[in-house]
Amino acid sequence: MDFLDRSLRIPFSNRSIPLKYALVHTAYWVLITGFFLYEKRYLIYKASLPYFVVCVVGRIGLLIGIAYLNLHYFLPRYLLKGRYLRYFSLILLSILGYLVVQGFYDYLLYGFVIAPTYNRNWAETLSYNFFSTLWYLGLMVALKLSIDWYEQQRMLQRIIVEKLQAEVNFLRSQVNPHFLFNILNSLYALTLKKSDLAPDMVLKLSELMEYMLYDSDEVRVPLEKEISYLQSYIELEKLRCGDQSDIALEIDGTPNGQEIAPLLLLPLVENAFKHGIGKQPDRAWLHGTLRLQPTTVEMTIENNKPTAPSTGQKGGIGLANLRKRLELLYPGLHRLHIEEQPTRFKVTLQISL
Amino acid sequence: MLTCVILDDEPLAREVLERYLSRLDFVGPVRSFGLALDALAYLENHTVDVLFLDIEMPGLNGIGFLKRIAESTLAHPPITIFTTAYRDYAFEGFELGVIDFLLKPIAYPRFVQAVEKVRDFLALSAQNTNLEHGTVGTPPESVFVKSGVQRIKLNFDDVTHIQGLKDYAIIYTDTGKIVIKGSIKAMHAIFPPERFMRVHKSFIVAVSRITCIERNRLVLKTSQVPIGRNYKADVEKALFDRRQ
Repeated sequence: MDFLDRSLRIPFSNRSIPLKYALVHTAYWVLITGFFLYEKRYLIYKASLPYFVVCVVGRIGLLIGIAYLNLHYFLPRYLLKGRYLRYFSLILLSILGYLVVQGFYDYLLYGFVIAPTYNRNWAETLSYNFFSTLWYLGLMVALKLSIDWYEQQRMLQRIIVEKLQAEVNFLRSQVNPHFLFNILNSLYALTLKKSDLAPDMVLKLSELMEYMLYDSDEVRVPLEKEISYLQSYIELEKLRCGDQSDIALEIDGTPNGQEIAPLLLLPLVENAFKHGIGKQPDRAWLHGTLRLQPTTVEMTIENNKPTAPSTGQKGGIGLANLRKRLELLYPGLHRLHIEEQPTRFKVTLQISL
Repeated sequence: MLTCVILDDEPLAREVLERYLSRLDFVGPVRSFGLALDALAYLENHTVDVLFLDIEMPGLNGIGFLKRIAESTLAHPPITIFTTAYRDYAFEGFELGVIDFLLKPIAYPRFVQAVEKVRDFLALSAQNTNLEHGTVGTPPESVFVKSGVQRIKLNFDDVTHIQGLKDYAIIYTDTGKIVIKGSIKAMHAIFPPERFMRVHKSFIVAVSRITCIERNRLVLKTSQVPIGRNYKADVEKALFDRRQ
């Protein structure tokens, strides 16, 4: 495709056109020339070869002239700027010019050269020439506009994707400060009472920090790392929720060199902690399963749900953002299913890696 | 003796506060709750002086909890100290009538400062102190404060800032604080506007005492005062104009 992306310089001018454009247009005119050659082939024996050549070359030459005048001058300057009256009058005028030249030639050809079937009827060739020209011009304008429209759509699509990507990058780069300070507070509590849990928590926290600050910038990370991050996170939250809470992540299968986009699994767990657990700290539960297969990963998070609607939740990478990211990173390769019941909340995410 | 209630969904966060409170000799019984509804039920049946309230909790959060208390018919609603990990949020919360904010992780000296503030407030507000109308001197230099049978002269020069709390105003001076019956609005009418500026729904500050202006707060020599969202433009304009 590199070849097609090159551009062609127009001789005697400093403008250049894309090669693809030139090829498509050349093909179009070759086709039309072929059609004319076929349609007017009878002129070779009815008149003579030179008349035939002049007829076809003149016709094509005039058509090309009008077509590009229209495409590069009238179209952008008048039609696309909404000056319809001027545009259509100019089109009519140029077709009229074409008709005068072509009509004169046809009159000469059919009226005098091709003998003995003299046909000096102006109107007949005139209407034929008018409509055939209109047809070819119309075809070109339609083609041009549809190509433009297609390009525009493609550009729009690209802008949307880029905007989403930027949004995702921004959200990903934000370490939830509230989460961090809460962890520090728990850690402070542990150190205050000289708990043996403190050193382990410091290590977990630094592992988490490393992941959030460095690894999450990568496009893909080893699945193994993502899982160990998930485990650290759950351990930290477990510490915060207290011993009574029932929190468990079960891992079925072992990671085998697969890679995954970072921070896709975490939002599910984060969400569960934010909205579910903690409301009833002594009776809170969160059960997660992570099923690893050679080409797919499936995570299910189930937790109890507070009966009262929660208010004032802020920060973090929410489910809406997760959905956007999945659509961007794994289009057609993922399934996110959310099941909400009065007392429990279940989210299933399946990704084909 | 202060009676205290702690409401926080995290056991470790509760532990820190319990531990701190046990070190203070002027603190009496302490009760901890992990669930808002349990705490609410307790408050309805007991007189509590101080409430340590976490803002960020699943279900009913700290702000919702305060609103519930305000709506309820508690004879003695507790004085509230917010405890939160949210830096941005903290200063906004003064609008809800809390006396102080503690940012997690909470350092002990800062904690003591907050609890003492409550203790002093309770002690001083019981003295039935009133501000006498009318100022002394032209331009006004001081005002008299009537406390019991005493009349104390309060020099404007000594005042750093004033905090409104429900029907009371706490006047902070270089040497201590005075709690006066009267709203912050009443204070605003008495303290000369060319020297004292309203910077928040609950705060008036002595302009000459401002050492630094940050995004959402003013730094004074020994304390900090929040700038209310609705006052920010006025504060900036006033300070800027004064400098010229």
